[in-house]
Amino acid sequence: MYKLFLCLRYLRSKAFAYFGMLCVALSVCLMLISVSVFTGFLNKIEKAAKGLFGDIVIEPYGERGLAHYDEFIAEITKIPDVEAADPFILGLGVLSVEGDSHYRQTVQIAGIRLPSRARVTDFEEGLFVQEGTANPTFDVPLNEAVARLEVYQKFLRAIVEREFAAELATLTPERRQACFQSGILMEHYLTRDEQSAGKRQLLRRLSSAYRNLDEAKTRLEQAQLRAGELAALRDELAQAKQRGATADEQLDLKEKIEDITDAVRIHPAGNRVILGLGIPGLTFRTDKGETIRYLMPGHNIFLYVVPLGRRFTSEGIQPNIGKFTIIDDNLSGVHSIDSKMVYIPFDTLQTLNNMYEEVSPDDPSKVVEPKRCSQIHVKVRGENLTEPDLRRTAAKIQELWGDFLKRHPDAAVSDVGIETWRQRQQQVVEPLEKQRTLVIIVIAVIWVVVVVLIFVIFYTIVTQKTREIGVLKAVGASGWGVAGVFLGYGAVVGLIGSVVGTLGGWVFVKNINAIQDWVADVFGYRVWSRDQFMFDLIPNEVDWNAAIFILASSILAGLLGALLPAIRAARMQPVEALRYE
Amino acid sequence: MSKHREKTTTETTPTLPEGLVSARDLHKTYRMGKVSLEVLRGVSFDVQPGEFITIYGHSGSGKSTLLHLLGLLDEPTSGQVFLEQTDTSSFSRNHRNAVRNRDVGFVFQFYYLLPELTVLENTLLPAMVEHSTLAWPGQNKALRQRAEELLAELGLGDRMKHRPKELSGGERQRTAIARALVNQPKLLLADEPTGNLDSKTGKKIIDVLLRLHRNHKQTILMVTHDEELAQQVGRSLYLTDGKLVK
Ligand SMILES: Nc1ncnc2c1ncn2[C@@H]1O[C@H](COP(=O)(O)OP(=O)(O)O)[C@@H](O)[C@H]1O
Ligand SMILES: [Mg+2]
Repeated sequence: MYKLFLCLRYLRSKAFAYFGMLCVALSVCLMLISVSVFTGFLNKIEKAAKGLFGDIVIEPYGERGLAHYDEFIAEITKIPDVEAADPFILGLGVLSVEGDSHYRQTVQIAGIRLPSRARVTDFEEGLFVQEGTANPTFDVPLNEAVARLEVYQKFLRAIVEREFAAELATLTPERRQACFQSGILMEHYLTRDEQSAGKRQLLRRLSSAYRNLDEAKTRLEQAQLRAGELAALRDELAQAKQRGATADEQLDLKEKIEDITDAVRIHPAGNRVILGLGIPGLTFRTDKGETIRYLMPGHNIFLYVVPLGRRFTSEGIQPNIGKFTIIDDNLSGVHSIDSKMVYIPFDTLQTLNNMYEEVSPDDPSKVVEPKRCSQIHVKVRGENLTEPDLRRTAAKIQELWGDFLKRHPDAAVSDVGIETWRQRQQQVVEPLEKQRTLVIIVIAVIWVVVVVLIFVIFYTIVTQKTREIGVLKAVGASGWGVAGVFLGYGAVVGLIGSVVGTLGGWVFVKNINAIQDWVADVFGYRVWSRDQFMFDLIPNEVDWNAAIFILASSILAGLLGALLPAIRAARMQPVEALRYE
Repeated sequence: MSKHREKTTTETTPTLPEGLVSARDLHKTYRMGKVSLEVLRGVSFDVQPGEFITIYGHSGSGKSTLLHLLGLLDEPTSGQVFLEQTDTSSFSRNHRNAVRNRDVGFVFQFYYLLPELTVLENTLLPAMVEHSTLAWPGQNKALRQRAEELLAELGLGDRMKHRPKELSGGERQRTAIARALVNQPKLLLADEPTGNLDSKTGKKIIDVLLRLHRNHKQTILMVTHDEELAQQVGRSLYLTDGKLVK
C-alpha cells in the first residue's frame, strides 16, 4: 500500500518532480511537433502530387509529345488496376488582362479535358464557382457564375464591415448603403486622413475588387440576356453550312455572331479559362489569410502561347494568341502551381501549342503530323496504395507501351518515361525523408538527455530521502518495495509529462499556422515561407502513430532514469541510511 | 576469539534463552580500511515480556549499535539475537522485514518522520507497509481507528492532519511513538528518545513511555546517555567498554 501512497505524496510535494515532468513534457511536445510537421509535409506532397498529376505519369522526354494518346488510353484502361487515364498538355505563355495594357505575367498553361480530369486527379476539389461538383466543366451555365459572385460579394462586404467598422459607423444609413453599391463610393466614403498607409492600401484593394466584381457580374448578366439570340444565330449558321449557302451569306452570319460576342465579351466554352488562385497581381491576401480576387469569372484575359509542339525554325517563333473568358478558378494548395498555372480546354491548347493534326496539302486524307498531347495521367484503382503497388502498375503500362510503339512507331519521337508520382517528386521527397531521419536522430538524443535528467533528479531525490528510506526499512519495507516507490514515481513523472506534452504538442500543431502568423506579427519573421515550402499552410495534422510511440518511450524514459536511483535505494543498508548525515 | 567460538558451540545445546528478546554474546566490529573498531565485545542479556529496561552509556559506547542488532536492522559480527526462543540469524530477509514490521517498534532520537506525510499518515506507515494495496481498503477503517485512538491517547488528537514541521519536538516524538506502536509490536526500542528535547519535554516523553508500560504492559527497551534518567525507570543496565554491567 505504501508504494502507491508514497509515490503520490512525493509527487504532490516535490517541486523537483514537476521540473522532471516539465522536461518530459517539453521534449514530448518538441518531438511530436517536429515529427508531425515532417510527416504532414510528406503526406501533403503525396496528396498534392497525386491530386495534380495522378498516380502515374506517362511523359516523353522533350516537348514533342505523344501521339495516338486516345488509342493508348483505351488500351491501358483495360488493365484492371487502372481506374482512369487522361491526356494533358503543358504549355508556356504570357497572360495579359483585357483592358489593362500594363499587366503581363508568365504562366504555365494546362490543357485539360473536363470532366474526365476529375476521374484522374483532385482538380474538382479546389474550384470556386463549381465548388463541390463531381463533374467540372468549362461550359459553366452563366447564371451559376452569377450566383457564385453574389455570394462572394457578401463575403467581400463582410470583410469590409469587419475591417472598417469604425468608419462605417460614422456614416448616414444612405451613405452606408451606397458604400456597398459601388466600389468607388466605398473608397470615397471610408477613406480617412488618420488611417495608416496599410489600412488605406487595404481599402483601395478591397474597393477595386468590389468594383471589378460588379463589372464581371454585369457582363455575365448581359451575356445571359443575349444568349438566346446568339444560340439562334449559331443554329442558323450551322444550317446555312449544311444547305451549302454562299460564302457571303455565311460570312454575314459569322459577323453577326462576332458582333454580339464582342458586345457581351463572354467567350464560348472552347475559349474559357480556369485560373490558378494565386497568380501574382490577380489576387491579394488579407492579413487574416483571406484570398481576395481582383479578376473574377466574367473577366477576359489573353494568353500568348509559345508553341512548343512543332520544330522551331530559324525565323524564330511567333506566339499564338487566344482570348479567354475566366469561368472559374482553382486552389490546389500547392503554391508553385496556384501561382503559375491556368487551365484551358485540351483541344484549344492543342491548337495554340501547335500540337494539332496536320494533313498533307496534296491529300487531305493523309496525316503528316498526328495530334499530340504532352502527358498522360493515370489513376490507379484502390486506396492507400504503396509505392510498390504503383510500380507494379507502371510496369504493366510500360509493357503495353512497348507493344503499342511497335504498332504505332510515330506515337513518340523520343523515349517515354512512365513514372509514379514519387519517382517524379524524388528531388523533393528524398531530402525530406533524409531530414526526417535526422530529426528522429536528434529526437533520440533528446530522449537520452531526458533519461539522464530524470536520473539526476531521482538520484538527488533518493539522496535527499536517504534517512526516510532508512525509516521505511526500519518499519519493514523491503528493498524492492522501496525501489517500487521510486520506479512508480518515475513512471508517473514520465506519464504525466508525456500526456501534458502530447496535449501541448497537439494544440500547437493544430494551431501552428495561427502561431506562425502571430510570430510574424510580433517579430516580423516567417519561418514557413510559401515559396520555399510549396504549400500555403504548415501541415497541422498530428501524426498519431508517432504520438503513441513518443508517449510510450517517454514513460520508458521516466522508468529508465529512475531505475538506477531506485536500485540504489533498494540496496541501502537500513542502519547506514539512518545514520546518514 | 577462540573463546567466543567455544561459547557459541556450547550455546547450541538446548538451553534456549527464555526472554522475549535475548542477546547472546553479541560482538560488533566496524572496519574502516585498516582500522577496526570493536564496539560490542560480548553482550548478553534477556528482556522479559512486560519489562521496561534502560541501558545507559556514554556517547559512542555502542548503545545505538546494540539496539539496531536487537531490532534486526543490522547483523552482529558474531553472537545471536533470539526472538521468542528463535535464533534470528537463520531468518530470511523477508522474515526479518516482517519481524521489523510487526514485532518491533523503533523510536529514534531525531524522530525521523516523513515530512510529506501528516501525523496520521506517519503513524499509519508501518500498517501500510504490512498490507498490500489490494488488502488496504478492507483494513483501512480499523487501522485508521487504531491510529486515531493511539494519537488521542498520546495527546495528539487535534494534530492528526498536521505536517511534522508544524509540530513541536515533543509532539514529533510522540508521533514517532505512535508510529512505533501502530502495529502493536511486542517490543518497543527507544534510542535516546529524549536526547533532542529539553528536560521538561523529555520528562513528558518518559511519562508517556511509563504509562504505556503500566497500562498496556508494553515491553520497552530504552537507551540513554543520561544515568540519572536511567536510574528512575525500570531495570537499568550500564554499557561500557562494549559490555553490559548491572
Ligand atoms: N557504520 C559505522 N562505521 C564505523 N563506525 C561506526 C559505525 N556506526 C557506528 N560506529 C562507531 O561505533 C561507535 C558506537 O556508535 P553508536 O552505537 O552510535 O554509539 P552510541 O549510540 O552509544 O552513541 C561510535 O564510535 C561510532 O563512531
Ligand atoms: Mg546513539
